Order: sequence, then C-alpha cells, then structure tokens
Amino acid sequence: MHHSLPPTRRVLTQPQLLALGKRLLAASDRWFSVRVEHVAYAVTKVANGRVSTQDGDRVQFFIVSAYGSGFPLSIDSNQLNDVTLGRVLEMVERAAPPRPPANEIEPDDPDDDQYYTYNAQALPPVALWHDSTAAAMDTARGEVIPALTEQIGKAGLMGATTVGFSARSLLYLYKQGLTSFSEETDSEVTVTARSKTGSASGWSGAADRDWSRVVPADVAARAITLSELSRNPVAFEPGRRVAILGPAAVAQLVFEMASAFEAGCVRLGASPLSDPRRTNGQRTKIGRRVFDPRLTLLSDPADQMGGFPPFFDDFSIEWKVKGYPTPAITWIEGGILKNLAYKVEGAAGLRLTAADVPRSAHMTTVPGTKTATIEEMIANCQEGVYVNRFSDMQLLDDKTMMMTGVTRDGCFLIKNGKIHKPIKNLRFTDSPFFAFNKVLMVGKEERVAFGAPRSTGEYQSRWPRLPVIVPPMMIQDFNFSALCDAI
Amino acid sequence: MRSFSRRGFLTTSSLAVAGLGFSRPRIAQASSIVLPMRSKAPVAAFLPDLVDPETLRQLARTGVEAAQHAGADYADVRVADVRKLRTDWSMPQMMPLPYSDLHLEYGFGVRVRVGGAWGFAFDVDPTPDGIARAAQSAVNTARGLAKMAGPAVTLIPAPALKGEWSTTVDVDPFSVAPDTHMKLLGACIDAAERVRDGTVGELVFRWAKETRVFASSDGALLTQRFIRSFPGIEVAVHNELRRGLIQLPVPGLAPRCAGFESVVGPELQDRIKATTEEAQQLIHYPEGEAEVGRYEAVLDGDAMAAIFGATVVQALDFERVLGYEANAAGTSFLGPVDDIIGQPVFSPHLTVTANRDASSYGAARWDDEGVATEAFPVIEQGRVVDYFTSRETAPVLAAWYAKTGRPPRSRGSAVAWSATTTPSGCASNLTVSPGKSGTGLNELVAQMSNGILARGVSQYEIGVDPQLSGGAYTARMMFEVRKGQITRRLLDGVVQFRTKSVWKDIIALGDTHSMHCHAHVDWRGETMAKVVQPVTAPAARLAQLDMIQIGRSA
Repeated sequence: MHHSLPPTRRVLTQPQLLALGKRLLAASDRWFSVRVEHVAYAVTKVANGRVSTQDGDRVQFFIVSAYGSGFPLSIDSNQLNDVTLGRVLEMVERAAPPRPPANEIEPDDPDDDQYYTYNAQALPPVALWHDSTAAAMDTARGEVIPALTEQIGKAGLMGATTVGFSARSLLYLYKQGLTSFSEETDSEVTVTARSKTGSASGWSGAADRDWSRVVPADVAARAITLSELSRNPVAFEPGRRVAILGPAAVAQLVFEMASAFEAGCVRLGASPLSDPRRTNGQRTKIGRRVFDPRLTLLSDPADQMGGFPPFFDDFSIEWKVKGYPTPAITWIEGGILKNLAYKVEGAAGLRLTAADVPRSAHMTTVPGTKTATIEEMIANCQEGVYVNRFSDMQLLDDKTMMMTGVTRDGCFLIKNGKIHKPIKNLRFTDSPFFAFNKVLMVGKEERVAFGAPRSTGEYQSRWPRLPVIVPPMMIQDFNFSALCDAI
Repeated sequence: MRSFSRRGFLTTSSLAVAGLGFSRPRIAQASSIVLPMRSKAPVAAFLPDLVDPETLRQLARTGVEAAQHAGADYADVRVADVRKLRTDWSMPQMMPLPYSDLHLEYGFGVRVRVGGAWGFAFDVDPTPDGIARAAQSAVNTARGLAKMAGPAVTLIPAPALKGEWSTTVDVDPFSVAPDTHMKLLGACIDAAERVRDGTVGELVFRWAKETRVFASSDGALLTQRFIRSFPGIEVAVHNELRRGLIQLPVPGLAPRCAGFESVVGPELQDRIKATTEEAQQLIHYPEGEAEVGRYEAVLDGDAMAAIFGATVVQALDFERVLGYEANAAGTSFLGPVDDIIGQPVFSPHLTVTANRDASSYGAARWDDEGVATEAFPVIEQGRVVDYFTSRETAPVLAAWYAKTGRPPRSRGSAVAWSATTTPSGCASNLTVSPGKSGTGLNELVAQMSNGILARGVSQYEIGVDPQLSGGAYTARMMFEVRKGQITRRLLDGVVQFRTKSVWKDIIALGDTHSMHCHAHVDWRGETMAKVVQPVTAPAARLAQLDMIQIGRSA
C-alpha cells in the first residue's frame, strides 16, 4: 500500500475517503452511491513452535448504479497510488450502465430522496478507533508471541496462539447526500493450551478495540489453568443438567440467535418471537416476556465495551440503503421484548426505528440485579456442568432457535459447590429462548473473544470483529444430548 | 417495470454492447462487473486481454530474486490471472431475471523462509516493483518471527521442475456469448417445468479460467492453465395442496475441469427432467415426525459424500493432525499419527483415493509447491495409509514411508486455492471406491427391514466437533423404510453420529451408478482461506443411525 498516512494510521482517513468517494461518484452521472472500505490486518498464528502470519491491506470500491438493475461494480485493490486510482476511475467511467428505456425502469428505482438525503440526524458519535491498537499492529507481536510461547512452555504444555490486529475505515456516499463514515480498530488474543499427549485442552481469549486493555499473560494463564484442570476427563451421563456457562459459551448462543429478531421472519412465523395466535392483536411477541426478567439485550454503536459502525453495512438485513444510520436499540428489557430489526423502508412505513439484527449485542442485567461471579455460581451448585465455551454451532430450527454444538477446551463436573472433576466434552441441543428463561444466577458481562470456532465461521472470522458482550450464567435443565469424543 | 418473461428474454434480440460505446476496461485489480445479459459478443470481450504467461513468469522470477536478495534462504512465488463467470437463475418464480457477473483477480503471494521461519506477503495488481516490495516485506516479517519460532522449517527435497500444462476443453466458456449462457439457464428451467409442479430451486453455473505460474528459489518454473466448472442445479417440486417442497440435486454435475460442452446438449436436460419426476414421486409420500431411536440406514451418494467430506476428509489434513490448526479450525481424530497410520480404523469396505487427474476440479500437473501430483491412496480397505501433506509436513511420515516402501515425498497435495494465500496440504479431489456392480441405491434400500434412508445432506446442515470425532446433521429428506419399502417421509429428524463408528459400521457400498460428487467448501487458517474439496462417493448402507428429535415448543 502506498499512500500518505500519519504514523498511527494504517487506513485512510475520513477526508481521504471522502475525496476518493466524490471522485468516483463524479466519474459518471449514472452512478448512484459508492462504498469505499480500507481494511488493514495483521494476524499471527503460532502452533507447536511454527509461526505464520497473514498480513494484508485491502481497499474495496463498491459502486451502485441508479437504474434499478441493482448490480454493482466492485473493485478490490491493495494499491492506492495515483496510477491505480487512475485505473479505478477509468473503469468506473466505462462500466457505468446505460440508461434503460423508461418502461424498463423498476418502480422501486431509488429516486426517493427521503432515505438518501437522511443526514439531518447526525450519526451517533462513536469511539471505535484507538491509536494504541493501530500503533501495535506491526510491533506488538514481536513481544507478545515470545512471551506467550515461553509462558505456555514453562507449564509443560503445547500452545496454539493467535494474536490479531485490524483497522478499518469505511465510507458510504450517495449522490443525494447521505454520507456515513466510521473508523475502527480491534485486537484479539486467543490461546489454546494442550497437554503433550493431546488429552487435555484449555482455551482463553481476550478482545478489545483498545490493545492497551488486553493482558495477554492473563489469557495464557487462564488457558493453562483450564488445561491442567482438564487432565484425565471422565465420561458423564448426558441429560438435562444445571449448566454454568462461561461468557464465551453464552456469547455463542447470543450470536447465533441474532436472526430471530428480523421483523420479516417474525411476521412470517419463522422465529421464536412470532406469535401466530396474535395474542396482543399482532403477530409478534412485542410487549411479552421472552427472557428471564433480569436480562436486558441491547445493541449500541457507542457501547464503551465494544460498539460498532452506526449504520447499515454489508451482511446486514438492509441491502438497499446501506449507510443509513442505526442508533442504539434495546431489544429486550427486563425480559420483555421491546423491538425487532426492521429494514429502512419497513421501519419508515411503521414509524419505527430501522436497525440490523443484534449481531453485535450486549446482554446485561437490569439495575439492582444481584450478580455473581463464576466462583460464586460454582459454590452454589449442588451438581452441574461448567462449560468454558462451545464450538461448531449449528442452527437446527428457525422457529424455536434450537441449536446444537459441542463444549470445548474446558468442561467440568461441579459437585457440592466445587469443581469435582474434568469431564469429556458434551454435545448440547437446546435453544437460547429456553435457556435464557431458566436462569438461576447471572454474572457481570464482558466482551468475548471468538477466535475461529467454526459455523460462525466466515462471518465472525472477519476482521475487525463484531463485539459480543455477555455475562456468565447458571442455567437450569440445559440439554446435553450426547457425549462427544473430541478433546 | 421490466417486461421480460423468461421466454421473452430468450427471443429478444441482443444488444451489441460495443455499439453503445462500451469498451473493455483496462483493469488490473481484483474486480467484479455485471455481465450484460443480452449480448452476442463473447464473455471474454468484457474483460481485459489475458495476461501473457511470459509476463507472469517474469513477475514470479522477479519475486524470487527479490526475496533472495533480501536474505531469504528459500522463496516461492505464485502469480495468477483468474477470471470467473457466474450465471444464476435460482428460484425463477421469485427472480424474474437471471443474474450474472464476471470477476477478475490478478494477484500474487510470496512465501519466504529466513532463519527457519516463514514469512508471507501478498498483493493484488502485481507489478515488478510491487512484487519486489512484497518480497522484502515477507523477508522482514520472517526475520522478526525467526527470533520467536521453534524448530526451523525444513522442506522435504523435491526436484526443481520446469514446464507448462493446461487442462483441455472443447469450448472455453469465456468464448461463449452471454446470450448463450442465458439460454442455457432458460433451457434448464424449461426442462424442470415440463414436469407438473416442477421448477428449479438452485440454478447456477460457475466457471473459472486461470493462468498460474509458480517459481521457486530451487529453480522451479511452472506454468499451468485451468478451466474449471462448478455447476449447481437443484430441482424443486412444490405441492400447493400439501404445502410441501422437495428439492433434489441433479446428479452428474460434479465440479471439474471442463468446458461449456459439458453442460450443453439434451443429456443434461433429460437428467433435469428425470430428477424432477423423481421429486414429484417423493413428494407424494405421507409425512410423519421422525421418532427417536437407533435404526439401520442407507445414505445416498450425495449424503455419503457430504458427511465424508465434512469428517474424514478434514481429519486427513495433516496440519490439523499436527496441531497447527488447534486454535483455528481444530484438530483431528486421526492422530497421533503413530496410533492411526496403518491401523484398521474404518470398515474394510472403505478405500479412498486422492486424485488430481486432468478432469477433476483440483486437476494440476504440479501442486502449489511445484511438486508433481500423483494419484495416491489415503485409505486402503479401512486403513489410513497417508495424509494430505506439504513439503514441510511430509517428513513427519518418513518412517512410515520407509516401512511401506513408499517414496518419501509430499504427493502433490499442497494447495493454495488463491495465489494470495499460503499453500497447505489438503484434499482437492477424492474418490471413495464403489461397491459391487448391481448394488444401486434401490438395492441397498431393499435390504433394510426397519431403517432410514437419508437423501442429500447440505454441508451447512452438518455440525461436527472441533476434532471431527462426531457431530449431527439433518438430511434434505429422510424416509422411513419398512421391509425394504419407503413408507413415509420423516420430518424434524436430526442424526447424531460418532465419526469412527459411522465409517467402521459400513455394511455395503453402492455401485458406480450410485456415485455422487459433493464439493465440500471449507475455511481454514487465520484469516480464513477458502478451500474447495470435491468428494465422489457411492451410496452406503450403515449398521446404525441414531435419530434425535428437535421439535419442541416453548
């Protein structure tokens, strides 16, 4: 990548993106909107002494035409010098589609200005960028990796570690004026510590937009502890058990259930939030209790513990007016369903607020709730299973959000208030819409590192991540449906 | 409002896009453009000229030289010019128009070894300066990482080969006009709609044309050209009265190296119609809830290939076995190596061969480390006899190769599906040997007294644990079989399995007529790189299948 950036920047600034966007849009009167994204990432993976890196810079230009075809022009590049920009502009000029005959322009041709001039409300201010993370992208791994490798080696274990940094700037620009910009950094450390025989494994992770708040040594220490506690696991009878789910496990359930909040699916009866009996005169459960009354679920772009760009982007439910602002939304408050996710046009028609489904979600407790630490949950558990995290999640049924997955990297039998012994991993088959109604105890929330736990796979493996902030929970009657041989 | 009907589209005269002043863009970056649907100019007209292979070779040599100059003791470079075409008219009742796009990717990856550690850098829009800068960057990274890496990376020796190779096709899909591509889509829909209530669910043709050059500091310089086809057609029968829907994949559409000739002609249309008729029959079975229990089972070829691809094929990835993916994709139940290799882990019915021959999707004369490809067994009569290795990981099997008289080398299974990703040992085409002739799917079903027939499994409906030792899946269709006859279609059933048990308890495999190819798409590494792994497998009769029920109301 060759362009002028300040030392603490790794991606283009707002003025730079705006200048680029305007040039692209001006290249032809037939272009309607442009999205310019610059992502830089530095990911280092260490396993059994083998180090590999995947560092990259990518700028993507995405230009949409006005004539109802909806088919965009997409150009990726790693170069941003004048020569490359010249080529991009040339292509933008030449590839603009011709104006079709008037009788072939679709009725939903986006000339409706109300959405695309929506700049009257300023985007909610967010603070997703941290210079500490941008500055660490090139340098931190030289210190962190050797330290983690030594720490895990001293414990007599084999380590697999990933240290990742990313920075992104993103601009949406419409001819009618809608302009949305965000910039963000993110960092993540995950450690899997395994015994040399491969018979025990512990995992831990930490993620934060501000690298200065991440303590890699703590991550490794926790993974090591879990691995050491996991030696010689025994089989434990599957069934409905009290489960103490660590934040990483709860996060997997929360992330997978996000699509249940999409208003279209709810109205079609394809969600646990649907009410086909129209109890309240509507097809949704708005106003009814769907979770434990202590729980609140929200998505806030300005969330101090995570946050996200405050507008619709790729992979959201909105395909037409990307870049449209999305404010903070409370989905569930005190267990009561308050809101669903509406696309821009649908929300406007109903005079509601448009928002994406809670892929970035923050689950917390209502004020005054007595929270407990994981240690306190264990102390209060007569018999149950502690789960560090889940993996290989798979949604089985949309209507109930029944999902299955397996425990991983730390699974223990709790008896009489103590960790009794490590147990072999278990498969679960349950729904968060059942589990979050059987909460016995709940803790304080934290942002969770996802690592690469499959099935969330492509989407949550993108950099930067979408933060998920959840508490640990003790849940009654969680359905462990089978033993799992995996370690 | 557009007034296209499908038939109207097919008979409308084409626009000569060139006549509107459109000329080929001079792009050099990865880019996608929409293909004008109504044009008689060949698809290639909408893209820049193919990059001259000599240009690619020069760039690759420049990268290697720059890496050596910067201090690498080993370097290899992959440079590729890739064009992709996708035409799509899935669910035509909801999508009045077909869709198509072209994608161009012109990029490279430089891999270097310095002080025993790897470094890697990639870029799009290769230029001599750009590739030299990337080589320097990779060397700088490796130099830094060498201070923290463990044992030095060593590569099993391989001859430095030179040469050129191409897949052979009759009709280059990029020489065909968009008009003709769209007519093909329309003809496929017509074929399905000849059956009452029939239509298509998925209808997509993907084509890729690639020129890739590999160069290494050992002196290798290899140029390969590929044309790949990755079609996907699923017919659908929707019974309005019963509100049911059945979707069946059309057989015989394996991803492979093939040209446009592989999809034209009446044979494909006949297969589409026959599959739709089959779906029409299947939808009339009565429906019932799947009951929890343990049953005999038959998997059709599609289900067998999908589940095998999601379990055993991934487990044979040697980097998983060695623990390099422990913090990413996961580990493997086919380890430790000494406990597994040569042992009767699976049913003696199971023999699996890896093969990158000229017609397969992963066809190549040389892999992405410059090693000559070869067909080799990975499982022989139930015993694991090899893994998917690279030059770096193959030495771990040296003792086994010596014991069994196999040459100590990687088998040409190092793959980088994009030039901008690092190569790693993984499957790129596998075949499960079929059973006796005359034992088709129907014959296997007829052998069951109380069992389940699973027809088709989507990869996205299989969940496997991180060690691939077990999981759960839902089949597209499951049928109850009593005394060899299908009695009803089962709903809401989920199958739980333990991988070793499934593949150890094979009673019989179907014959060649029951074979089906399923392309397993996987992601691995950090950041995730996409891999495509076709598996061709026959139908299989299993001793047991464990059904659980997921239907539950709040």
